[in-house]
Amino acid sequence: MIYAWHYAVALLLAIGGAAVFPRCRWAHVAPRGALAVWQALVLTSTVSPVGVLMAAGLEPYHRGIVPGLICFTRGLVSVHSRPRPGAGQDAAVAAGLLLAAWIGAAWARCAIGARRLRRRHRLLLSLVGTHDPAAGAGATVLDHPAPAAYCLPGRHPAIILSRGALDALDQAQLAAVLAHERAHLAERHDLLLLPAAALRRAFPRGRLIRRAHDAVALLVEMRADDWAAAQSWREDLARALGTFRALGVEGPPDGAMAAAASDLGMRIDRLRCPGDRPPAAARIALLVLAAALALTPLSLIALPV
Amino acid sequence: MRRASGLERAVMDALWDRGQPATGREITRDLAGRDLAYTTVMTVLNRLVAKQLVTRAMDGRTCRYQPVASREAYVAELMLDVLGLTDDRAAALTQFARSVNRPDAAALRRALADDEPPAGRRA
Repeated sequence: MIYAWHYAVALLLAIGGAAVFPRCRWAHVAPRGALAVWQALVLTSTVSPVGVLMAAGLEPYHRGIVPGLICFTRGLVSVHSRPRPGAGQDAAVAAGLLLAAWIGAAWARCAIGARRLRRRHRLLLSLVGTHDPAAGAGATVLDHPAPAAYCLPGRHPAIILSRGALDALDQAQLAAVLAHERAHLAERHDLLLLPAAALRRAFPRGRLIRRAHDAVALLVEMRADDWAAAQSWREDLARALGTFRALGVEGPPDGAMAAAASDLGMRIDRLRCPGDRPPAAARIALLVLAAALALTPLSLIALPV
Repeated sequence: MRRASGLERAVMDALWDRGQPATGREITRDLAGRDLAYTTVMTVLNRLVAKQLVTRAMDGRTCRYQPVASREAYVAELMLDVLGLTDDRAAALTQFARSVNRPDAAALRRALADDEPPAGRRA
């Protein structure tokens, strides 16, 4: 049962980490490191539940999951094979496979759904989008008064600004916003968001999963802010965020709007007063811990053979 | 569903500007400045019908074409996509700052509802 215990401990640590990590103050100061930690937590939480079930079911084979599954299927097919597991273990393997299928389906729906939406979005943009010299050649303009700026990742990336955004931002703020969006495209942040988004799709009511997804989304925005700030758009970016905030919430904000408003505030504050980076030793230690946490369940998939 | 070509956009613009169903010949005349053959325009119209951007209706013995939805409806659909209000958390598009207020969002939804829903909308 030792492998099952490995998975169970990894899962508990990942859940504990997800509960505790949002309180870590240096996450906002070093978003890249924090994103790496979150990816480790999310991947561990994705793999470990399946691992616990499969390892419990494949325990008689004393192997990793994939080699164990091979023996298991051989055992199903031929009568003269090694220890035939009991009904409980068959059930555990079945449950593990079902859970893996559930999570895999969530991943597929997220990735395919996103691709489909972006393709249609791209098609409609090519029909109704315009260009404006103020926005430059690199951006498409969407004729709508509400302020919006976003990018379309993928093989044909694009940056889009609404007419409302174009009217509200001055040249410098505009350049800062464009730099921010280019960061998303250059570093493929859409892929960084996928594991957390898929986990949330698989378990939409999980509170910790929701918090993890929101945390990753905010860190991705902060990372893009840093990218633009490094190109000397720091103050203009802060002003652009302030412009968006001023144009935004009217009337009593509901929960989602309040969260969005506080996220904006945090991004503006950290641009204007970047905190001290925590000591490198502490960051490296945490990254190593996170990597070890993620690698344990991942390695047990194939090992021991 | 790749991006629309320049010709497809020109034909859609002509249809939108007309505001009422048109035949292939009428569209060809509208696009006279581009010096397009009638057959070219018909090819483009058929492609647009296949992409569910244009509908075809028989008016007696002539075929009339009209856009499935107005320009404003498509703009509204794109804006709603960005605000994450049509799709469920697929994280397909992340916007610069989540700051749209509720009156804007409500107006967008109304703009979409007033117009006939585009036939090509995904489920």
